[in-house]
Amino acid sequence: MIKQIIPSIIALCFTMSLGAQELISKIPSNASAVVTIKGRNITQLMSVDDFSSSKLGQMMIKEISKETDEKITTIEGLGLDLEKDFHYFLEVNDNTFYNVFLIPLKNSQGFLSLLPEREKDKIVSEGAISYLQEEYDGMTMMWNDNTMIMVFAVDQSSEDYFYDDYSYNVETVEEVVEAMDAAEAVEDSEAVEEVEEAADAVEEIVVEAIEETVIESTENEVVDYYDSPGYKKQEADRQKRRQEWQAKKDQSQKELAANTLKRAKQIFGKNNATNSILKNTSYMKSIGKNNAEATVWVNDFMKIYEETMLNSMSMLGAGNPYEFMNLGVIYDGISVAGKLDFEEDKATFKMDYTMNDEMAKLYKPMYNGKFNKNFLNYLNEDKLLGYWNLNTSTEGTLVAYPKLLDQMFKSDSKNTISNSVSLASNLVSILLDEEAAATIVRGDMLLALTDLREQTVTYTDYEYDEDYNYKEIEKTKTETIPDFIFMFTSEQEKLFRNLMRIGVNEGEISYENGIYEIVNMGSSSPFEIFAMYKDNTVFIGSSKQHLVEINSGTYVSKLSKTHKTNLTRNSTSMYVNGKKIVSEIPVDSYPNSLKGEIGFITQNTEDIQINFSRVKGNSMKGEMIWATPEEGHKNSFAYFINMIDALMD
Amino acid sequence: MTPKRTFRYFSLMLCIFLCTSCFDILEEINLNADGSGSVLVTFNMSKSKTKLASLMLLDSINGYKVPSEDDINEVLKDALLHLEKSEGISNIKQTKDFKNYIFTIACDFKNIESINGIFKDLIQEQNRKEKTNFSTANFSYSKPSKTFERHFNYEDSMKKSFYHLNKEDRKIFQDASFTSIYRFETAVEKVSNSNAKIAPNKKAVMLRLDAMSLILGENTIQNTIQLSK
Repeated sequence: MIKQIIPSIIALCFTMSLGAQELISKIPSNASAVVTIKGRNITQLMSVDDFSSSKLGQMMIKEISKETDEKITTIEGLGLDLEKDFHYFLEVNDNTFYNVFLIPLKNSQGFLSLLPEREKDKIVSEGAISYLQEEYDGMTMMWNDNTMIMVFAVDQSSEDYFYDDYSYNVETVEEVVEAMDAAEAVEDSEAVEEVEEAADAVEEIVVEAIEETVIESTENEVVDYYDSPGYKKQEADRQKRRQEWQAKKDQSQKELAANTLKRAKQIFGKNNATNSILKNTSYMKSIGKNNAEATVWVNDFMKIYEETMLNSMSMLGAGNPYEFMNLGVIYDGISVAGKLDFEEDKATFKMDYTMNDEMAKLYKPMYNGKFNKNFLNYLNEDKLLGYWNLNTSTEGTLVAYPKLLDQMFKSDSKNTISNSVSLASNLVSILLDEEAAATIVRGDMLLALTDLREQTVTYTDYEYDEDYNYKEIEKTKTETIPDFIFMFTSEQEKLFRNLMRIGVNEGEISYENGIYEIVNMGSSSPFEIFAMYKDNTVFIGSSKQHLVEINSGTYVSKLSKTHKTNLTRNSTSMYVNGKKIVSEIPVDSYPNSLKGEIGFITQNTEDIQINFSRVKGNSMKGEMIWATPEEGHKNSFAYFINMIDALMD
Repeated sequence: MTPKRTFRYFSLMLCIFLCTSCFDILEEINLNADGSGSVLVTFNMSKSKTKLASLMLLDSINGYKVPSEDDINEVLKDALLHLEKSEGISNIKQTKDFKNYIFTIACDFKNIESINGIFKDLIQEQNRKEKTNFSTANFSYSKPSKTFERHFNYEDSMKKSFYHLNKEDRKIFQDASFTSIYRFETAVEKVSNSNAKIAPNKKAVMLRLDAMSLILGENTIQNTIQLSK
């Protein structure tokens, strides 16, 4: 008896330890993409009780309750283990994309309550595991008491998604093809006379076929075409082809469903870290162990492209652009990792883009341009609504692009297109003086919404006399419009002034005290546009005052160290001063439904900042920071739920 | 969407959001005693010109394609061609001011039926497609009884179409107005529409309504004007 109990206890302990394993161990090491949501982190930011009492939570509970005939009336009732991690991963195997969701459960009862009764009859139980498979697409749900997986498989090689049977006369086409083949065979033997004969044969058959079709169609106008033997034969052939196509499609669906089930069982049964994503160096390096609430990792872009694009284009044969393009130059070794983090006063999404050595070599000179620090002297953050800057290098880009094209189009290829592209890119590279081009536009530029300005605009109204005769009168009203300024570095002052002079001579541009104004902006611009050149910089803006002050050196700038750092150190940076914009928008401009919430919106809108770093090593980092107010919100996650609550009415 | 386009879109959207939108429609008819006359329709959107100028720099907004100047010109050209083909219509004039967004179309008519003929086909098509029951005769004039009528039968579909628009689009109609001025050679004795005003010289009638009250059926432009015999 003791001999029987001890192995049972050991087996139970082993099962329990497997149950306690995190679901991530089920993700294979060769997964192409992994998304993880950390349940415990989210519930620490906002408890299930707090979420349930929010309007969004109440709405969810109402829907769940409706769906389950009130069998489930709480979020906990769903049976999800919200303290554990939820995962999605994409696995690409033999032309098949497996999209897999891993869901931790506290029990399976909640999930089962969501299923309609007719679906429950289809549940198959194999020991402690149950599963359900959709007949249509083979989607498989598999679960036990603590785990559920959902597998959606897509066969990328399948060309049978739709059926289109053209009503060609197959026999005629076959005859022509045969004759063409004959002609080809003759051509190979270089017997000219035979070629001519074969060509004549082809012509004869084609003419006959056309004549037959013409005669047939002429007859059809008189006789009932749909009752003719010819049509009936065609219809029978079509029917046969359709049945064959259907049988092939059914067979491939059956195979896909069988493979999906097999894969689901393998994933479900896998409970140790061996060969799991935890053994994938790239994943561990990019994501590893971190405290982010959600992570995204996409690896091996080339494999995904190969499976999607190459397969879908393979039917084009020699015309398939991927046959003569070396996509590996761009996609080999590329991975993207993203982390979403909800902190007390901000939500951040950080992204790490890793590229291969070749791409890093090409990107570095493109994205590591110099930044004109003068730009910083022309912004005042007290008025600033937002900005976007770009620190690229025109010279670097003009040097890198021909190289990229040359590498992409395989200059050693036998394909004429490849060689032509390679030749053209080399020619461009020789003819272009990259250094000189960079003196016109160096590549660093900044566009900023500098202020909200009230402007007086005129409009036409009518004045009526007592006999209702009317005359047009011009009235004025005040409108608030944003002012912008666009600056870019250029050493070509002479070129700029020559260009402006042409405009002045043509009467399109006026000039006063160093500032040019586009006189006729046409009806299509809400702005007046001014331009000027100073200190190797071209300025284009909507506020004359702003340009006048820059020109005279009296502009008072104010910019925090953070903004200065973001603008100078990144390859691109974008900023939106949410609080300023929201507080300046006239109350009348809000939809009526939001007018009651203006106070709340104004108090609770902060800034958004997006940065992309320069290329360092083989990586480029991006981040989006959404600032949130601390007052009134436990943390930034709670902030978003509270905002949704406030705007839901 | 590239960052540059995003930023351009953002600044234009800000402009659109900040600026108000509204329009006025003015319908003016001078009716002679023999039933002939002239009509002028003015579409004045100058109060919204900043917003319209911003809108026209975008390809589409709220899922609707924004018409270009060429598109508008094409529509106006079609309208002219349609008028030229209409029986009893002459002296057609059109003005377009893309700077202030004011468009007018004017013509002389032989009799009141000629004006009805202009829109008859369009209204019939609308009634057939949308199963509405708009009157194909917008105006009538009886010489014996000296009665001029502006017909309008309200359709619930107007309200439904209005509420089918999203809240932002509905704002366009909030400050819009419709004004009609009818002038006669003989004096006006009475009008049926309580919102219509008779000029002190008794030769003109003006009716001004906000578009919202018209769309929601709270007011009507239906009016029977009795002229002195």
